[in-house]
Amino acid sequence: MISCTEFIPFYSELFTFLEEQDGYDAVVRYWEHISDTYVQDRLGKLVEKEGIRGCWTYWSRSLNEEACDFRMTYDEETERFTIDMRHCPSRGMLNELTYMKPYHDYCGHCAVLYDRVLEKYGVEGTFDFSKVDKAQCFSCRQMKRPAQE
Amino acid sequence: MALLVMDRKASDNKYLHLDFHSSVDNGLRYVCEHYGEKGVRELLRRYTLAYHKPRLEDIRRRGLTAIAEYLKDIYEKEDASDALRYTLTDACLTVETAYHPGVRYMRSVGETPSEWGPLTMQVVYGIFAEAAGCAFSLRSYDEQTGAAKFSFAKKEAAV
Repeated sequence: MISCTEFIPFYSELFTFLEEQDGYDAVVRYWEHISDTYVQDRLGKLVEKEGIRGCWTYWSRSLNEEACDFRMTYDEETERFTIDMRHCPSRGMLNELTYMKPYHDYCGHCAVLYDRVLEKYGVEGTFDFSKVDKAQCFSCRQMKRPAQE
Repeated sequence: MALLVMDRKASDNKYLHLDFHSSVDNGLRYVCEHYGEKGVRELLRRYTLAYHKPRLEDIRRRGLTAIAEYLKDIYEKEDASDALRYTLTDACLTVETAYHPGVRYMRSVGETPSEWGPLTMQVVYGIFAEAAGCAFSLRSYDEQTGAAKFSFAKKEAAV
């Protein structure tokens, strides 16, 4: 058995394996596949039903189950959803497994998996991944606004 | 109009995201579709040698006891201690699991687990067994529940 508590190093090794077989594009294709087949059925359905507030519903469950150290906000008026990840246990685990080499773009999966789905519903994301070496990141999602003339 | 705020520390929750069982399964399914069973075996082998490196060293030192302790710990983390029973002697670790926590979870949310449960055990636990100077034997695996019977037996004791 691979326990769900052992998934993160498995995921990292999977990305490394795919890249060694067919390059970085193969890794991105995998992320897109999971986005289309798995995330769409979960996050996508929530956003389809609740609008951008579906993000709040989705991450309310997953971030708690993943025992993240975070601050999450949703402003109903501006329809702005943010996650300030003070410590991501997934990235944190990889950083602590010093005997393993983490996949070089491990955190890249987050933007592809989720935002490929969210873009379909008019939600755009911006990210700050500059502190992933400390298992920290920041993401903001909001409805796309029409370009001002 | 409200501003919703959720602020949590890691210590507020237990680390148990069962969806990750589905994610492991999806990964193995995808690798099979693109690289065949050989690819699945290779990924499992690499994962085991990389992630379990310190554990394999421990198993080489302490043998079957280290494997038994690992299984006990991982089933506790999964809140599935009730599923695990084992008998440990100097020559053999015999294990019986009443269900696989991942299979149970996936079925509970309407997902069909892939065919890779038994092979995962054979590769991961096979490498554990090798480190202990043992042979791994998967005696039964129930696809509906993931219930399994398996053993790690010292090679000289294996019949």
